[in-house]
Formats: sequence, C-alpha cells, structure tokens
Amino acid sequence: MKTHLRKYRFERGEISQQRLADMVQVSRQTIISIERGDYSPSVKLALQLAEALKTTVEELFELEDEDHV
Amino acid sequence: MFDWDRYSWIAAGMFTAGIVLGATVDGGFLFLLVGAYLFRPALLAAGVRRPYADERQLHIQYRSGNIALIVTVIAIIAMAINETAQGRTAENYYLILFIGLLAKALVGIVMSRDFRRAGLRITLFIGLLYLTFVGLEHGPSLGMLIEGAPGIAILAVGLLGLRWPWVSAVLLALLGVATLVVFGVFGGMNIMRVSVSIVLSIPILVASYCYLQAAREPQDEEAEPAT
Repeated sequence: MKTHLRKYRFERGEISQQRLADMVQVSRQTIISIERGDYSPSVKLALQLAEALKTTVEELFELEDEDHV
Repeated sequence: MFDWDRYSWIAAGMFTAGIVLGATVDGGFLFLLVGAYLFRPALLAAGVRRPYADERQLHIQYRSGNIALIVTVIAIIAMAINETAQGRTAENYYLILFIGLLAKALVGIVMSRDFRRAGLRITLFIGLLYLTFVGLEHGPSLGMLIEGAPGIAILAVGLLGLRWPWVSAVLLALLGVATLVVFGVFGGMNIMRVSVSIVLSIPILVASYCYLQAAREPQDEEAEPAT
C-alpha cells in the first residue's frame, strides 16, 4: 500500500509528525511506520488521519499493483 | 501513547517492594518484579482497562507475546528432556506446558466467537484426551471402559450440543463442577491433583459457556440488519 501522508502533512501547513500523532492519539513512531509503509493502519486510524489532514482515505492511501484483487 | 497513571504507581510500587523485600527478607519476593512488568499488559489482556498503547504498539505486544510463548515452550521442553535424561520425573514440566498451551487455545477459540464450533472442539479434545490417557493406562479392557466413562460422557454431551446447545450447556456445567469436586477435592489435595482438575474442569466449563452463548445466538434467517 502506498501512502501520501507525508505529502499531505506538508500541504496542510507543514504539520510535524509529532503534532499529527497527537491529533490522532498515537505515538510518533506509528506515524513514521505508516509513512514508511511498514505498518498499515486500521480503518479507524486511517479515517482519523484523513479527518485530521482534511482529506479522504483514498487520497491518503493507495493500493499498489500487487494489492489489487 | 503512554500516560503515567494509577496503574503505573501500582506497578512501580510492586517493583520497589520486590527489590526491597527481595534484598532484605527473601529472594522469592523478586517475583514481584515479574508481576510489575506484566501488570499492565495483564490488565489490558483481561480487558479491564482501555488500551494504553496505540494499535501498532498493541500489534507489537501481540507478536512479542507469541514469540515469548514459543521461547518459553522450547525452554520447558529442553528442561523436561534434561530432567528425564538424568532419571528424574518431568511431569511438572509437561503440566506447565499443557496449562500454558491450553490457556492460549481456550482464549483463542472463545475469542473467535464461533461458539457452537468452539464448544464442540473443546469437548472433543478433552473427551479424546481423557480416553487416550485411560487407554494408555489400562489397555483394551473392561477397566478402560469403566474408567473411560467420563470421557465418553464428555464426547456425547459435546455432540449433543450440535442440536441442543442449551442441554449441553447445562450438562457440561454439572460435569465441570463434578470433575472439579471428584479430581480436586477427593483423594487428598496436592498440586498435581488440583492441576489435573483444573486442566479437566476449566475447559469443560468454558465449553458450557460456549454452548450457552451458541443457544442465545439468533439463527441466520432471524438476523436483522443493524439500525
């Protein structure tokens, strides 16, 4: 799964990883892991991230070729 | 998302008490350090308090817990083999191993919430396990049939639950209490007998709970969409 979290963080006023983490109540390491693609968030966290960054889950996350059904 | 809270104070208190009492009174108090380390995860696993960690941290805990279980199992087996090689009995090691694996299996099977199947699986496993032990002890004989009767009863009641889960829930509850009394109380209280009674009774009581839940589940055709 591809993630555009980093891009949206900067587009929304250069929100730091820590600030975003605080907004959605997770640790900064979790944000880092999601941005690196090491961890796929739950639906709930994905929705919270999208809400915090004023966008949609589809804009934030994208299935890669091998992920499609 | 770790916040220092009252549970942290309790764990810190256990840790300090373990160090102080371990150094001054008895080394056995050092086990309090293990309690302090596992206090919060144990509360969380039991669902007593809301998660103190975010979902990724919980995922890490789950994986590290499974790895810890595998390492513990390997260590126990190695120690049991060592004991046996030195001509000593290793029964206690096998019992610890069995209790740990049984706990994991029971929790997993109940958490799956497929209650009818869970009840059946537990009763089949315990019934067959009981019959296997009786069979190994007596061989094919009348004594095996007589002593194996509880195992056959567990199997029969388990199978009954496929059609009448209510009936099985009640019968298994009675059977669970009976095994607890017969194996745990009569014939003298020692750690081995109590452990065997737990190994037999708890799964039977859990199976009873599963069939009770299965009986309360609505049939597929009766289910309505959530509003």
